[in-house]
Amino acid sequence: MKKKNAVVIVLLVLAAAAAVVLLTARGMNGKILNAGIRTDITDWSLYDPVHGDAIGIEADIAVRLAKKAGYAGVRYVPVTRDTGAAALMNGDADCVICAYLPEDPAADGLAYSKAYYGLETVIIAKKSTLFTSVQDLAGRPVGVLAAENKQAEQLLTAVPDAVLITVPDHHRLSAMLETGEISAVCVPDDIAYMLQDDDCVRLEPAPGKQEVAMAARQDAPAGNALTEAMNALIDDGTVNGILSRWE
Amino acid sequence: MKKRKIDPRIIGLALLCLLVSAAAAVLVTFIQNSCTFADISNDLSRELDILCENYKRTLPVKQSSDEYNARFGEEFVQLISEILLQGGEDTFSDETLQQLCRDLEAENLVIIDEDGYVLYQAHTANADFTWDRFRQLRCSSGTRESAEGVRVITDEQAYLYYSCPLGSGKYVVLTASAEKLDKANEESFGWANLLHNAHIGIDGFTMVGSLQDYTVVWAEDEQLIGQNTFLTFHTIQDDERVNQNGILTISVSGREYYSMTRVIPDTTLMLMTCIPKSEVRALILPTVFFIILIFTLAAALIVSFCYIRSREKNISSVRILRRKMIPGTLVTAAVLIVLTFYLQTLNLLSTGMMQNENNVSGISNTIREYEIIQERITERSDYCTNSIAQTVAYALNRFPELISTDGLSGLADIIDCEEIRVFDADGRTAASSHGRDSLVLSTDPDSRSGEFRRLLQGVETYCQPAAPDDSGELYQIAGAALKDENGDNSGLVWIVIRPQQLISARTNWSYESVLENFAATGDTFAFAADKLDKVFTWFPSEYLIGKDALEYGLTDSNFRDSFNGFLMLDGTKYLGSCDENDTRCYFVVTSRADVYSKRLGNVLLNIAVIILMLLVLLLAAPQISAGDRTEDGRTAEKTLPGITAAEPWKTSEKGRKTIAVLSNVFIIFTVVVSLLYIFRNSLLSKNSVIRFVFDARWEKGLNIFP
Repeated sequence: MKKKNAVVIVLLVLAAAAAVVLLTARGMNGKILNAGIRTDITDWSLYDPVHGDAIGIEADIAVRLAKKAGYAGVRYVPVTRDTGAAALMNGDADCVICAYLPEDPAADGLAYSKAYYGLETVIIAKKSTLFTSVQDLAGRPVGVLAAENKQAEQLLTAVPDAVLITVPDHHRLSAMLETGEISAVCVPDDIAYMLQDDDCVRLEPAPGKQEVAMAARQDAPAGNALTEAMNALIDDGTVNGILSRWE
Repeated sequence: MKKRKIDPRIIGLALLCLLVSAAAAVLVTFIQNSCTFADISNDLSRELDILCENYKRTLPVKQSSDEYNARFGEEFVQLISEILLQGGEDTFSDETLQQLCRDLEAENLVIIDEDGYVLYQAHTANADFTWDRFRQLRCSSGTRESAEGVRVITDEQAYLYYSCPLGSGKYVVLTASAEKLDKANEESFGWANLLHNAHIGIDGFTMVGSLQDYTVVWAEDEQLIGQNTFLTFHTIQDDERVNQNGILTISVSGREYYSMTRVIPDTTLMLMTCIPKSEVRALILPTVFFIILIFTLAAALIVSFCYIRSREKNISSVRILRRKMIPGTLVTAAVLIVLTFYLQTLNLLSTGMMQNENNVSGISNTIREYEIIQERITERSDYCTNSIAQTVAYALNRFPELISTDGLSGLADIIDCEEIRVFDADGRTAASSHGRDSLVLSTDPDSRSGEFRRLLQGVETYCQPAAPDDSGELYQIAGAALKDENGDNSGLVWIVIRPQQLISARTNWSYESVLENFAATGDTFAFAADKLDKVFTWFPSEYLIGKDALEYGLTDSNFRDSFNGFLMLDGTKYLGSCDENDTRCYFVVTSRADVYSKRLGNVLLNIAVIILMLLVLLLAAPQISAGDRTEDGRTAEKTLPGITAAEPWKTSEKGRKTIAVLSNVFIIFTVVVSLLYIFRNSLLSKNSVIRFVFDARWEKGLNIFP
């Protein structure tokens, strides 16, 4: 009788312990992934500083990436196109989810995953300008974002004598387009979505595309693991799934 | 004196009673939660379906209203260009434009060349017209028609620019403040029209959000407009946190709501419809509370009865006791079932009535508001029409040679009206755009044409209220006095137009549109009947419009303000509420079948729980009470725990049986709960309390009671 009791008690204790572990288990290594995401690009990344919460493509990818690379959780680090690289180098962020993939990935000391999306460069003008093609912009003022110099370069290749007006953020860009201070804007597709309205028209042909990928520090030990995990997510279709959910 | 120790059987029975009641409470709460949740989810979803359909229906109205506002500006600027050209190019100057601005109450007039450089201006131009943004204003296709207007709306400014070519590469540009016209636009079609009465529940509401920047485009509470839906409410369409039902819990202005989001097809807008959590809980809790209370009392009664019976001499075994218990238990079960039914019905009826009452007074208020809006639109439209008439008079005063069939028909083309007619100082036609010269103003001051005689007697302008002509179509006449060089009255001019904006206002802001846009789910709808002759003036099924309501089931007593109750309509019984205004009674009704449809599944499940629990009682209570009876009727020694030296309670006959019974009950309870846990994904909604506990989200652990 006593032995049976003892066995029962041991089993119960083990079961209880297992339950406790399951209920409270955190990740294997207990570390949190500091994911650099943008803060106010609709569908891509909206960040709530009050709750530290974010939604969008970048947030979803960050969560999956953390899981894949064995992290216990995610902490969002707000970055912009300007501050992303610096955040990586000084350790504020372990990775930047949506970074522009440079032509020579190895050159700037960062490790990049494969490209997972191509952001088209879009030219938007108001209908009242009566513009019909990109070439109409010759000699005209075109607004570009300070941090998006790739798009500016592509525009100048297509229309060498367009006059570039550099603007710090897309809200200002939208206002200048509305009043007419600039005749058109040249922005990546994700920002174009926010600027476009019924009064606008997209000018063809698009001057180019910009590929995006995840960036991490090359020399940090976590860097390569993150890149591998990201590539795995791209290969198995997770990233495409996220992208199509937000389209 | 013998010390009376507490009979362990009583403790056992009390424990049993509590256990069973707790199990019943858990199960009934779970049932109510998931049923209500499924209902709410369906209701929210249907509501959104209806709203999207309604939105599609009101789109053409909005478009025609936009067109109307644009046309006014275009007509105005074209008349102005006509006046300028009549004067000749050498009259173009800042002063001429200033004079025109003053006389015609225009905000600003500017003459530019085809590159946009200002040649003359009344006041400093609000914009740089050399910019590409304004190319549309200075690229005429060779015709003399005005260009499409350009809107510039930012946080700091809101202007509309209209232009018309003046020939030889010059254009006149009219600046109008967008606020005045936009208000009219908003009044002609607004989200208020669509969403004012579109909500489920009593305190629910619907908002509109932009998919481009996630801000609230419209909400009844104006403070919400412009707020970012993600940052403020922590919700967004397509959020992964949306649970299976599509319901997300959000917090708006400090109150918690269940909400559902839907993208309006072919737009970059989304609708978010919300119902307060407290309202949903209020649907569940009272019923649950009363059912459990009554059940607990009944269970206590049963176990007490069982205990008492078990002391009787003629009870020789557990089985016999059980048999004796059956009739009592059956009676209790019957009473509980009837009570459950009753409570559920009461709950549904009272909720349904409250909702109907609320909805019908909401409709009544909206209709009153719409009447005011119609008045404002009429004022606005009359103002526009008057402006045009005055501008025409101005042109005719300056250039009397235009008073001819050709001149007037040219002007009539510009302003797109049916007719322009000039009367002389005696009221006889001097010229008309049609060329028919015979019309004379009636001398009867109350007749349609007679009313215009006042313009010959000192009144400057007069805009007659729109009225239908012989073919039933609405038309309107506006007139302005004409003056000769000395300033004396030389006659009047009138224009006859089809007032498009009034026409669309009368359809869009009519009481019929309020009833049509009343979006409730299930078999709930609104209709109206004339108060005096009790004839249906509007009904969703058109065949009833115009029919005598009393012949289709309604009675005179239904036509009472604040009537709430059952009524018959076309053979079906409805739960309805009535609200009256001066001439009409408005009704919101829900079919009785619909009110009760939610009851059946709920009640059946509750009854199943009650029966199950009563069975458990029937099994266990006699066991506990009479477990010490042997087959031959002897009463075994009552053994109190720890007292008898012979056997410890745990291993005694009675003890073992009590434990067996209690463990049976516990096993049943565990099995049920385990089943729930295993199948929780399919059985339970993510927001139910049970699910909350299972997912270990409840901070108090398994203690789910407040």
